[in-house]
Amino acid sequence: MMRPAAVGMIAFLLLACVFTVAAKTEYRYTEGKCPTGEDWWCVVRYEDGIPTYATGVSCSGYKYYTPLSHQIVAINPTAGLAPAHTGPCESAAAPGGWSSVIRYDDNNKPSWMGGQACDGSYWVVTDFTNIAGPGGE
Amino acid sequence: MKPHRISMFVGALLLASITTVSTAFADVERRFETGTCGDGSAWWTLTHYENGIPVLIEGVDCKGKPFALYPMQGYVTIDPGVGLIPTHTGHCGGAGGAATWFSIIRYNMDHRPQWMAGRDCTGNYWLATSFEGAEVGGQLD
Repeated sequence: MMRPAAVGMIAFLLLACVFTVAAKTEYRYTEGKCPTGEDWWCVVRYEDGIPTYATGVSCSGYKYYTPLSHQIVAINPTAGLAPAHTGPCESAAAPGGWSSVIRYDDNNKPSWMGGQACDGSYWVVTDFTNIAGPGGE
Repeated sequence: MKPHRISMFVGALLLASITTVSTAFADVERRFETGTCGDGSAWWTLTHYENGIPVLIEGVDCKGKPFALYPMQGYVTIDPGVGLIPTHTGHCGGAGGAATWFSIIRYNMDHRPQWMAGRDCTGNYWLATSFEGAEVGGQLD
């Protein structure tokens, strides 16, 4: 017969294992032509379907590094829109995988993002402020 | 206009023309790759090519560190990648030389490029002799 303390310890360890499963990180790349003939490109990092930063070069020739913060919303903000990026999820909450819609400004720098994460929640990015960070100016 | 001023003007005009021509014909292409590291995290690289020659490789390695590397090349007479499958390929736009370029990349344990070779749009074989540059910032985790 196991002591209650031992049972509690085992339960705690099992829970700790469940909650320390690392988020799945994925990167997606998009590129295109500017009206000037130059190229723009953008790499977005996702963790379990939620964007965490975008880096790239816009049509102004400006290299940006933008940490992305998001907010969970109740209604699908991208209903009817074609996703720019998609990916698989291991959870049953989003059987179709995660998806992300990106809108760009005139210089082809991301200016709006919304989508569905691997936990099934809907999100929109609330901040596109650049910082002087890795690879950015 | 004095003769030396005329020659300076003509020289400047000629230099501007050469710069314009070489800029206009530089065919810039990029190739993106991403994958999963041994610990479950992810890496990515974006390799910038000009006429089939790698000029910049940026990305994030398996330690989560962002990097920007400027590969330097030396031309070699024999194909250094013979028998190896190209990592990247592309078409050459200019007249003459090769119709396509290719590049082979080998990565280190952290998935940073450590060896590169290929053929550029002039048809010459090249081998990366060094990778100038370093980490461009802190951890991205």
